Amino acid sequence: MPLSGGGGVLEPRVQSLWEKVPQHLARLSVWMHRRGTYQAKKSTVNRPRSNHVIVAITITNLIWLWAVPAVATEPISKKSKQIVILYTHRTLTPVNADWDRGIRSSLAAGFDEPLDIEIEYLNLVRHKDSDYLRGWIELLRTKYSSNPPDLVLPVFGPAIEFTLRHRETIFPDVPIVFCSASPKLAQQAHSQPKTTGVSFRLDVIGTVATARCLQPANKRLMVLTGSSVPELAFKSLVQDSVLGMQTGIEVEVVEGLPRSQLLEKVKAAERNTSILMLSYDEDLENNHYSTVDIIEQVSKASPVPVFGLYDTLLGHGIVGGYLGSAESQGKLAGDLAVHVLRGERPEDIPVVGSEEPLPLFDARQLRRWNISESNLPPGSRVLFREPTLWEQFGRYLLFAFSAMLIQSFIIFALVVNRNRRVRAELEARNLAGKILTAQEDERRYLAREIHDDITQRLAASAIEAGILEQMFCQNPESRNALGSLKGKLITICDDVHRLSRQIHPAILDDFGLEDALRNECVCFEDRHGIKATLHCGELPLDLPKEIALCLFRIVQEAMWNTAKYANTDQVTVGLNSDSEFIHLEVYDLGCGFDPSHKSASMGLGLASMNERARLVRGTFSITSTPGHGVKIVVQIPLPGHSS
Amino acid sequence: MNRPRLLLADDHSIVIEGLRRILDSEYELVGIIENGRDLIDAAKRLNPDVIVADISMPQLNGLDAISQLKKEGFEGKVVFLTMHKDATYAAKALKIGASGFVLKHSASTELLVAIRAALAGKTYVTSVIAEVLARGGTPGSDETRTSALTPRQREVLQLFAEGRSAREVASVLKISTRTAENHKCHIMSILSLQTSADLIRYALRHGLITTE
Repeated sequence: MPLSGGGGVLEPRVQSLWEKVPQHLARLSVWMHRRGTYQAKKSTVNRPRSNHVIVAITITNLIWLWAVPAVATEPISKKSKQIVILYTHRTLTPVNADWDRGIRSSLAAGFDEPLDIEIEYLNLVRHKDSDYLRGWIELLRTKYSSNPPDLVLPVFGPAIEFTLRHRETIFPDVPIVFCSASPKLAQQAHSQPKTTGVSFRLDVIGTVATARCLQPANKRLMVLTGSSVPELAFKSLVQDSVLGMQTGIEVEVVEGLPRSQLLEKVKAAERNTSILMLSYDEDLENNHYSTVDIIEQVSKASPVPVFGLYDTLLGHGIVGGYLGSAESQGKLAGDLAVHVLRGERPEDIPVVGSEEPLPLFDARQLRRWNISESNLPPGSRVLFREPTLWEQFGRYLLFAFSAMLIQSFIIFALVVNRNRRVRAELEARNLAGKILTAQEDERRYLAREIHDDITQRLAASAIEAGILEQMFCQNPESRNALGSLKGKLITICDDVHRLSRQIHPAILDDFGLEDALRNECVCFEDRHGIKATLHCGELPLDLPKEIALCLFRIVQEAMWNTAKYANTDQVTVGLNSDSEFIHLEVYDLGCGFDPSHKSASMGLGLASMNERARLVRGTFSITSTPGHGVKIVVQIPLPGHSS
Repeated sequence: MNRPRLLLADDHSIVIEGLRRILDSEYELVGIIENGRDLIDAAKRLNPDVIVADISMPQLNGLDAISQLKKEGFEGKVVFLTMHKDATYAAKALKIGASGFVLKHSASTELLVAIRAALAGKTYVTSVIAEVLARGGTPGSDETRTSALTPRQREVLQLFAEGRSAREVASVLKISTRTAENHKCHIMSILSLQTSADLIRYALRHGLITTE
């Protein structure tokens, strides 16, 4: 700190020097000019050279004149301030750490000049004999007489008393800022010259009242305290406050019990007791402890909640209370120190009382004793909250949850969409099925009408004509005319019958699929001159009518395609069934086609075949290569085998 | 001389009018029936020498009615008079024991011929259809059964021949074990095989499985 601080001070000096150099140079050149002109009048040839040497030396000298004092004198004139902190307790006690943190933070924030902080741990709790004190006095005097500090900062009663008593010997004329004096001591101290400081405040009443409030049934208060001198002073302070409350609480002071007895005592505490821990650095047998260690063990052993008065113990087993803060005391003392170091007179600075102790609680202890946070005094702060699972992983959970939500939404939407599509497809299929069924029903009806009515009447007419023809056998002219009429009637009758059969194959209803197909093959051969061969395996007897009709129509359509496009003289129909499927193949060895280039009419025929197969849940496929014929394969599941 | 007794079955009155005029001179018309069921009753009751019947009739068609009568021992002759020009009908008719098959519109010339032939113990089929029957396109009597298996049966055969149990075959094809067993039975009966060894030999010979 001092070195870097010195450097920081040096730099602006050097900088200002360099700013000034050009001014001097300018002045120099003016002087040289004058001289030059004067000497030019004297007119000697080698004069200008000697002039240049003089100028160079002058400049160098000037630089040294300015720069060297700046570098050399700065650290000596700006010595860093020195402050000595004297702690009552020995080193590394938690409460010392709190004070120290507070003091240093205030000094660092308020005092920007270099500062040399020296710390002495007097350990006056443990050692009180006069030899020990003399030793300290000797040591401190030796240490600081040649280089006295700018400020002394004793912390807590014994250290403050020690400093005040021996200041003339050790720190003559050095201002004192004390920290954490009892109000009484603070008053005494402030009456001395060059002395000010911070007095502590304890809210014994607040803490005891809170303990009562949290556990109204409790009628007893057990106060635990060590037996060192400062602790006894502390205890009597607390005792006075509690007695002053007049709450009817039975107070028991446990003072300086050795650790094991203390723990036994605490363990045996009755249920309606609250425990108040003051400080426990020493017992009656001169054992020394750290209060923090003791409170941890006491808290563990205690069947009832333990309260405290200052926040160093919070987190080590006390439930809480109105807690004073060593750290904030340290801060206040640090602030006062800053003022004094800046030159204010300590006598002008009044003693500062620390802030009101705050209601502070330990969440873990609250949970242990099943105390609801809603019962705490207003304005309470609860520390040591263990982060809940939600606090720890909430963000991830939220992210995962929202991702899942979005995903589920998408899945839901997709499922809905799919269902809608499936339903639409089903409807379309049903509709197509209904149309086809309706068409077939209509055709069946029409065919029957034609057969039962028109053809019968035509047949009757033909019979009539035939009878007449025979009656007029004597008259060749009439007979011939009637014969011709009969012939025409027969032709019409045949044509109409054929029409009826085309509209609906009655034979399918009468004899079943196999015979209908066989008959169709014969008719096809007659009509187109193409040999149609049927290979038929054993078909189920109870083949549903709609499957039979479907297959019949597909065969008709396929053979019709063969006649129209295949340019061949043979077509083969294979029909077979097993217990699951009925299987149809229609193939020819005609010219075939390229399935990827279906002509429109062909495509239509194929589409209707495909649709018919689909209606009875069957599959339809067509394979063909140009020059190698066409093969149509239909496979329809039989009832009871829905695959 | 007693005219042969004739029973006429047709549900079209307009046709019956004409037929009556043709038949009256030679046959004693013992009854006119309008459906297949009545035909059976009337035939049993009247026991005519010859029945002239349509094929398409309400309640029971002519073929089924006659078939039933013949099965029950009806001795009379039967001539079918129909609009159906398909040879299949004629073949079926002859198969169940009819003696004649005449198209309605040719009744004036052919019916009496057919009845006479029937009474004489012969068979008469309208010339147009007789031609088709003669050509060998006698569809109903064609008993040639293809021995080809369906694709599913081939699948099942292969799986069995590969040594799988019915349960395994069923699980591969996602069918019930019973269906798989039915398939196997069916295949063996179609191929006239006796044992599982035969089945494997058949599959080997036809390349459905290999020895490797």
